[in-house]
Amino acid sequence: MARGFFASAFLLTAFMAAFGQAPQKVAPPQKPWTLPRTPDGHPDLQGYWSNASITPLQRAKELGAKEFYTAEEAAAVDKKEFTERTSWDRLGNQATVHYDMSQFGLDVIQAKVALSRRTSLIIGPDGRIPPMTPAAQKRLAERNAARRGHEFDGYAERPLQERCIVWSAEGPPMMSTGYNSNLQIVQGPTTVTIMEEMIHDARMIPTDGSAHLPPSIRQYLGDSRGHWEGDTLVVDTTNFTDKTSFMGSTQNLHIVERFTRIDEDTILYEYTVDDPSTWVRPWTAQQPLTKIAGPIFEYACHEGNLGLPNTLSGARAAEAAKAANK
Amino acid sequence: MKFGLTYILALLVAVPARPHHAFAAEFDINRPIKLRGTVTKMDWINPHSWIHIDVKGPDGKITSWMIEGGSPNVLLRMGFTKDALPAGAEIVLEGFQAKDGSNRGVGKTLSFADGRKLFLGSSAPGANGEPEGK
Repeated sequence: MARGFFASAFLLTAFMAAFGQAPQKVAPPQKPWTLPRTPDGHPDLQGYWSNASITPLQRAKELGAKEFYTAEEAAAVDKKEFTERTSWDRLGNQATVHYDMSQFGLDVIQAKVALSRRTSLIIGPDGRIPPMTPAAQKRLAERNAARRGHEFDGYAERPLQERCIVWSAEGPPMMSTGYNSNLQIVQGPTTVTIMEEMIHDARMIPTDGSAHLPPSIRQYLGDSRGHWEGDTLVVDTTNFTDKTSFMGSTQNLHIVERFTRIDEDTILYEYTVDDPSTWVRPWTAQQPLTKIAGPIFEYACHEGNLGLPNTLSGARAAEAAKAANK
Repeated sequence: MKFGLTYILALLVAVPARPHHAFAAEFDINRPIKLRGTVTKMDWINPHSWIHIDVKGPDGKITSWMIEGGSPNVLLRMGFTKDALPAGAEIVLEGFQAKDGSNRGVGKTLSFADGRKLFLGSSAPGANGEPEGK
């Protein structure tokens, strides 16, 4: 099984070492990978990619400052994760050997998951989301208290994801969506577009040097502007709205994403999350995107969203039953 | 295609780690259902597919049910096609009824009448790979 970018980095190192030391015996000829480029000379990031991952966002506390597993540890952790997430053991007596979904990959939807030896997607010695500011803690506590008991009052109280407006993990930053964790990148001379299968949004990222929208314009997915730093696409996103909240953030959320194609099958995706009104310091995570065959399919969520009326009618029925028992 | 049938039966299970919505808000774990009926149609709609079945009661009366399944995108990627569960197929379905008491439910397991097992990639406990009771 390919070990994502670490395997590639290892091979590259070995390759360079082989060249540098001019070994006596000539190794079998290997064709070095060449970064593909678009006609305007930028790295070609186009195609279908998956961000399915089995690496947790935050590091388990018992791992302390350990940022990477050894190869042996990683193999054991990966095996355990795949088994737990994909085997039918947890389905009780219906499990049969024929239904061992480990063959299908992480979420039993796609076979390809970019593995990493990282112990957490968040990089650095902490490996965890920094503490929230006292003001943010107060804000969230008040918000939660105001919502309590009113979660099912009407459609407007339901999460945006349930209402088919935006998927909670689609970002930016883009995180694994649990299933259908697929995206397509298309590059033009002045725009890069990222289409995510969940929830079927196309994020248009101007790379023409234009400035962000004025602060008065706020959008669910923010306003993204891109530029190239060497062979890395850097995307800066601001102008978020208070109608969304990334892990407790406010509309002041500022995301910087970095896309670097490191081999034929891998884009290294890194993002830094900053919101001084929420966390005491910025935090950065890194995960490989792995090439998939595609295509991605339409996810017309609103088309058949029977779940929302069912949920509300269930709440009304529960209220009626409660009233009748009084 | 000797392998095909087993493969397709397995494919019905989408096992989403994070369903589109919360199971407990829509369906009632205290109302388990077991239905034997005939497929009338399958809606290939996101965020969830829905299987329509007619169930004949002891008195011969037909009741129509709708059962929620996994995202069509997931089902298709796993090889489940429009022909895999045709109208007229007799199936036995286990799941949980909607909280509002209507003839809707969420599928946990599905088998053909001859006993061949199917799974539904849905939000029901036990169907999505999550441990029961969590």
